[in-house]
Formats: sequence, structure tokens, C-alpha cells
Amino acid sequence: MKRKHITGALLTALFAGSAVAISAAAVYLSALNSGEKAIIESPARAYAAALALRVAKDASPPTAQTALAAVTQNAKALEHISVVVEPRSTKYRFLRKRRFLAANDAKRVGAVLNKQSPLDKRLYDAASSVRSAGKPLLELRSPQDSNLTVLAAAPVMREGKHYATAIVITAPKAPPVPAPAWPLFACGLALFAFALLAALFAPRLRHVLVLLGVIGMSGFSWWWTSGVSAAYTANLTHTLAGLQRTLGTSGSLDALSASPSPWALIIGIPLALVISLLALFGVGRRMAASMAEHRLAYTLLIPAGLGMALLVLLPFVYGLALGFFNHQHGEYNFVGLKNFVEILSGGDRPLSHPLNFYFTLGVTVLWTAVNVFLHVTIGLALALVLKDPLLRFKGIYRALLILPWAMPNYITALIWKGMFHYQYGAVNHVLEIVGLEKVSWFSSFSTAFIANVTTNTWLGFPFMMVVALGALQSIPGDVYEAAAVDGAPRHKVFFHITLPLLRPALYPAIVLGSIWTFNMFNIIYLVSAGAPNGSSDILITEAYRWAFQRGDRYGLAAAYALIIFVVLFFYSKIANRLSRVSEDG
Amino acid sequence: MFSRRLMTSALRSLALVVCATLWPGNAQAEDKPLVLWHAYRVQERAALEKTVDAWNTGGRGAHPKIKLLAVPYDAFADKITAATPRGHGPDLFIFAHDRVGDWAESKIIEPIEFWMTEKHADTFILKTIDALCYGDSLYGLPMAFKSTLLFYNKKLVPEPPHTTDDLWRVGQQLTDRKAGRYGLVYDNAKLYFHAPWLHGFGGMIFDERGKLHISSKAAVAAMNFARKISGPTGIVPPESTSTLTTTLFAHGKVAMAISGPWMVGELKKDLEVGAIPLPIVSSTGKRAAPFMGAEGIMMSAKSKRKADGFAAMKFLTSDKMALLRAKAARQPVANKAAWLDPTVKADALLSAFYAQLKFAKVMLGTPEMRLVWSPYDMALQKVVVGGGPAAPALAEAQHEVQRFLESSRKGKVQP
Repeated sequence: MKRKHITGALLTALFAGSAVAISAAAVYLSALNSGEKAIIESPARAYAAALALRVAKDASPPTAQTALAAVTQNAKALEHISVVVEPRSTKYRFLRKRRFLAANDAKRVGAVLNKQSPLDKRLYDAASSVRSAGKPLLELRSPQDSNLTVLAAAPVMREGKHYATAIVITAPKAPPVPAPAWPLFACGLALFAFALLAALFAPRLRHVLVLLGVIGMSGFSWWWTSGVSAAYTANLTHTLAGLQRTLGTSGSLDALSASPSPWALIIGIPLALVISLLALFGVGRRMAASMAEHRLAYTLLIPAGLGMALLVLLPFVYGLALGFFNHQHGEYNFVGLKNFVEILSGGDRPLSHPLNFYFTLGVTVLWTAVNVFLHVTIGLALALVLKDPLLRFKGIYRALLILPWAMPNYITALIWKGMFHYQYGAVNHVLEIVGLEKVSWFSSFSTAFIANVTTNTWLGFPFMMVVALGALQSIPGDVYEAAAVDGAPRHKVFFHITLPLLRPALYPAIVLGSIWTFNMFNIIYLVSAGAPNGSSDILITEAYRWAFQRGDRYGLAAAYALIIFVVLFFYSKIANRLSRVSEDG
Repeated sequence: MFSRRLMTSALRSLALVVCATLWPGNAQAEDKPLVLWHAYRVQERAALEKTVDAWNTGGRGAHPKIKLLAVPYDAFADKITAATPRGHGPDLFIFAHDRVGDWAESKIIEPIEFWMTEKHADTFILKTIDALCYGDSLYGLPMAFKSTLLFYNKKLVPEPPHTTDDLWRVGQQLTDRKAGRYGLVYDNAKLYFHAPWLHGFGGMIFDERGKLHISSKAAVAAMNFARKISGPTGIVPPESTSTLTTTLFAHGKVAMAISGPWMVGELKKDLEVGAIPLPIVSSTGKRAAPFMGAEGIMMSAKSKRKADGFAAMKFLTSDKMALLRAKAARQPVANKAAWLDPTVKADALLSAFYAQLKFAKVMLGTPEMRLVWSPYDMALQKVVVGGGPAAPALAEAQHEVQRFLESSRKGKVQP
């Protein structure tokens, strides 16, 4: 059998294996989210709620202790259970001397919380959280010893006021799960073996087998998850029924519902399907063929490829995902396309409003076009001058003209910002000497825009000049000689010889230059800083402001970044096509 | 062959690296020092180092030592926000109170009231304690407070103004547009520096119930005043910024400046500088009240030795250590006792801060407040710098902040 064939089979198997691994991971995560976590949490929640209800009925210390005993008589897993009573208020709103109304360690009843004990600190903080939020609390934490504990707390209300907090701490045990996870792995291994064998001995059948395997996996995954969910419901019902009996009432034990989170499945299964489809369409085989042919090249590419994946691909995917979330105090919630809708609908702001997306997009496009036009024109003109064979001290001029490019651009930006200052800036000073009115540069859009463009042109033309200079030197002299012999005028020489021959070098430079300018954060941020009223902001500075100046809206900023990417992606596609057309023409 | 050899050597070096990183350290957890991050520089840093030395050489008792780490101010908050949730942050850190709300909500900082007593809280100036509270919890022990003051050049201003009418009169006398001389300079397009006028005219941002009051008559009056003094016939140079404030004041081009303690270090020794509390607003009779910020030691919620951490915090903010900082770094410290010391009392600059404190308003450290700055600055830009009408600009700012508040609440999922 051919070597190429074996590599192809291995790759197909790899595809299949990763598809299975992804769907298995998705199932596991989803089950963990919906079932296991809820099973771990629910008894603690229920006991805390029951205790709070029971104590609220009659809150004298002895009856509280009886209530605690009644609620916990059947619950052996509870490590710590107590009711912490609220103290009188003091001079400082944050100072509260909390004491135990009831506790499973009977000696502590009536005692004040101990400042040296980490456990008491945790009880104290739980009581504070419940009191300020006015609703039950649930937290999972692995403290120093790394054993996971669940803390559930519920408010004890008396006469409509928060009177005490019932707290239950449990060390969760492994929950009963209908089927262990090993069938998933067995299934994955079997599929791997199938794909391998099929690829080796039945090349045509392997596609069907891979697809069948993944579909089977998905079905199995759903079955497994629903089993976990059912176990969760049964467990919860059992706990609740027991508690209702103990309480002898039909008091409501709310805050017990935990909704399953199917996101892992919704993302994971389609991803697995896509990967297996790729395998189906022979991407693996083609890759294998190319890999076999350029083995050394691929080997040498591995380190750089890994680096790129780590430094470019990973952040990119992270940013992409972030665009679908909303950030609030360190928590990320999935909001679907909301961020994109908010941006693309203009966020209810009129079109003339600086925070409207289309306004900013317009400014950005204008900014890019004006800048690139000026960079190319000035750069090309200077290159033509520098090319002149009669010019002396060429090296000095060239070095001086490249200087703006060589300086760090934020320093240049800050210097220009100073020069545009109304009272003490050099620009207004010069205007005054010439006899013109002083201009308040950053108080209207047009002048602020001019200030930005001036700065960026100063920074940008050397690059175009260098590119043009290099390209000019590569135009053979005999073309010009021929034109001179024919008696062609200078402008004709420029438009019919120089420009067409420069195009292959200038085109990529222009595309690159416009992408740089489109995202030229430093200049906008440092020179005009969006003044006035954010109207001179471009998309990238707008994204920055959403992330860091307007309430940490990282999701919205990521959505902005994605939109910028899409715009630039299509821009470069179109530019590429245009350049190909012009080359063909 | 070549490629195989390459792979083997690459794998071998990789294995070495992995081994080196996984090798267990010799240090025991108990001996590890508490890590304290700060952004202090020069004198303040030296003073802090002295107090930490005092802890490390005896003051600590059975508690672990403290290891200091200076982190640049600009990156500080982001580093805390990024590193702490993953357990890479410090045990303790010193920072301004304005992020307390966010960090408390994100569970980055630890509530410390559990270890507090009334007697201990009484040693601090109440406003500085208030600043470090969020909800019903306390999130740090105050080190120092900061606010803006009216600085004046003693040579140019023999009699500093005590009312806004005086300020306008004195400022007019000192202003000579052609020569580039002005009466007063401050960062007039920033809410932080505009706040004294806002409060002096009776305005506010949020009321006690958290309702937004950006667009009010008092706020319009305050903005009109700021527009008047910054306008074409005013006493403030155009396009004033913080950097320009320091530069112009240091070179004697402008006689008075509204700025904070950070400016003092940038001035030359031979410049005779006076500092007094901000003037009374003549039309309302109220004091112009700047925002007061408090710097405090806060504890990471991920710290493994919280009781030890609190002991260290308590030591570093004790009256004795505060006095040391006040004397060595001229820091406006948060301990009441330090202000009774004769050396501190005799320090004119410190006394000015203490006098201003009475009228300063504690800046809110809530997440909601963080949404106000940018729209309010934009309104100031339009009115005070651009000369536009105040009422519509403030109405728009109010509307914008309201929108931010709603959209940031919308995403919050109730557990």
C-alpha cells in the first residue's frame, strides 16, 4: 500500500477522532452545567431555604435550635449549619457584630463570631451578601485545602425585615449519574478504529462511516444528558418531599430551580459535524498529499505555525467569541447578536450623532482616503525629485525625509498636538506671523480632522516614498531613452511609462497603507482625542472607548473589532481583484 | 535524517523546560511573604518602604513579612482586574477608591469589616472610610486622601481670592491675552476639575437614592460660570489640560491653578507657592467643593492569608505609621491623630488639604459613577471649550449616561 494512502487514512481518522472528542467534551460540559452542578447545589439550597422558613415562624433562640435539629435530622452530608442573627446597627453602616442564633455546634449558640476563624469570616460574608442582596445566596468555593464546598444561605424575614441568615455548608459528594462517561470514550475509540480500518481497506466507505459515527455520537450525547437531567429532577423532588414532611407545611422553598445550560452542546455538536464534513470532502486526503510532497517544508513550518496559532489565531478566536457576550463586573453573559444589532442599527442615535456607527464609519473612510491620497502623492513626488540624477546631496535628503517614519509615532503625535495648541502652539504662531487669524484646532470637526490628517501625512509619506523610490530604480533606463528619442513630452512619459511600471509595487503598498491608516489608533487618540464631542473618532478608537471608558463593554468593543475586520477583509479582497484586473488589462 | 535529529533535540530541550518549571520550589507556604503592590513614587515610595521595614523587622510578630512591588500607575487597575481572578495578583495593594465598586462586584477585593471594631474605625477620618465603603461593606483601610486646591504664585497674587467674585476680579487684573498671561488655569474640560463649581452651585451627579441629576439648573449655572471664566473675555487660557496647568503655573505664566498634590513635585523650589481651599461661590454662598479621593490598602479576595493580611493592613495604616508618612512624604494621611502633630500642623500645604477636606465631597466609587465621566467631559468640551449653550449639552449627557446605565443593567442576569 502507498505511503500517501496511509497518511491520508491517518488524517481522516484524526479528523474523526477530534470530531468525537469535541462532541464528547461538549456533552460532558453540558451535563456538568445542567445536571451535576444542580445536583450538588440543590440540597444545600433546599436546606437553607427550609431552615430560614422554619426559623422565621418562631425566632426565639431555643426554638431556632429545635428547628435546626428538625431540618437537619435526615441530612448527614451537611458539614456546617447555622443561623446568624443580625445585630443592632452601629455608628458605621458596615460594622455588625453577628452572633449565632442556632448552630449545629450547640456550644456556639449565642456566641459572637470569632475574628480568628476563617469559617466564621465566610459565614459573616455570606450573611452580608444575603442582607444586601435581599435574596438567597449560593456559592461554590474551593478554599485552601482545595476541597470543593457549597455554601447556601437564605434570609430569615420577620415582620418584613431581614432578621437573620440561615447558612448551610456542604461538601458535595459525587452525584448519581445514569451512565458513566466511559461509553463516550469507548465510542470515540471505536470510531477512530473504524475510520482507520475503513480508510485502509475501504476508501469509499470511510466517509459514510465517519458521518454515521458522529451522528451516533450526537444522539448518544443527547440521551446521556437527558439522563443526567432526569436524575437531577428525581434527586431534587426527593429532597423537597423530605423537607416538606419535616416542615409539616406547604411553605414555598423557592430559589431551587437551576436551568440547564445547553451552550456547550449547541456549539460543540455543530463544530464536530463541520470537522467531520471536512473529512468527508477529502480535505484530509488533499492535505496528506500536499504534506507528503513537501514534508520538509511542513516540518520547518511547525514552530512558526504554532507561534502564529498561539499569538494570532487564539486571540482572534477569543475576540470573535467575545463579540457575542456582554461583560458586567467580571461576568460574561451570552447575548447572541445583540452587540452587532446595537452597532449596526446605529444604537437609536441619529445619523449625524458621533456615536452612530455609520457616522464613525464615514469619518474612518474619509480619513483613510484622504490620508492615502496624500501619502501617495507626496511620496511619489518626492521620489521623483530624489531620482533626479542632477540632484546633489541626495543621501542627506533621503535620510532627512525618512526621519518622520523612523521616530516612534506617538512621540510625533504628541509633538504635533502641542503644535496645534491654540495659545502656545507653533502652527497658530506661524498663522499670526503671516497675518492670519488664530484657529482653535480642536473645537470643530473640520479643523480637528485637518490636524489629524496633517500629523498622519507627516508620518505616512516616507513609507510611500521609499516604496516608490525602490520601484523607480527598477525601471530600466532604455525605456526612457526610447521615449526621449521619440520626443515624448514629460507628462506623457510619466503617465505612460513611469506610472504603469510603478503600479505593481505601489498597489500592495497602497492596500497595506490604507489598512494601517484605517486602524491608526495612536494619531486619533493622541492628537484630537476624538474632539469635538467624539466626532473625529474612527472605528478603532470608538471600540477602545466602549471597552475602557464607557463601562467596560468588552463585548461591544469586540463586536466593533469584528466589524472592522470584516470591512477590511472585503476591502482587501476587492482591492486584490481590482489589481488583478488592471494587471490583466 | 536531518529533520529527525532536529525533532529529537527540540523535544529534549522542551522536556528540560517543562521539568524546570514543574520542579517544586523549596519555599514553604508559611514563609512566603505577603505581596503588596503599590504605585507610589519618590518620597511616598520611600515613606512606604520605611513603614514596611518597621513591619518586617519586629512589628509583624508571628505574621509573615511583606514584600513590596512597585507597579506603574497607568497599568495598575488593569493588572489588578486581570491578574487577581486567576490568583496571580498580590495579597494586598494600595490604590485609589474609585474602582472599589467594580472590584467589589467582581469579587476581586475582600470585604474587611469582619475584622474591624468601632474603636479602630474611629481612628480614621470619616470621609476616607466612607470612600472605601461599597454597599454595606468596607473594602480597605484608608492611607491618604486627595483633592484639588487653589494654588497661587505668591509673587503675582499677594492676596489670594476667597470668593468667586474675587477670583474673577483678581484673574482679570492678571490676564494679558497678548502676552499669553492668564489669571487661572485648570483642566476645564474634565468633570474632576469642574466638580468644585458643580457642587458650589448646588449641583450633583447622583442623589442618595442613586437617581441621576446631571441636567439641573444648578449644573447649568455651574457650567455657565466655567464658560464665562474660560471664554474669550475670561481668565483661563484656551485648551487647558493637566500638563498645561503644571507647565504654565511652573513658569509663572499663570498666577493661579486648580490642581492636586501631584503638581507640587513638579514645581521648582524657588517658586513661592501658596495653597488655599477653593473659593466660596458668590452667587450661592456655598463653598466650591472638589471631589475627594481616598487611597487605601485593599485585600485581594484570592489572598490565602487574609487574617495575616488584615494585621499588616492595620499596622501600615496605624497612627504611628501614618505620622511617619505625613512627615516623610508630606502625604495628607487619613488618620485623625496625625493631624494633631505640631510638625504636620505647621506644614502649610498639608494644612490647606486638611482645610479643604471639610468642604470636599467624597467621590462615588460605584460602577455607575464610572459611566458618567466620559459623557460629562463631552458636555464640558461643548460648553466650556466650545462656548455652546449649557442646558442642551447637559440634557444630552444625562440622556447618554441613562442609556449607558440601562444597557449595562440589561446584560445582568439575575441568578
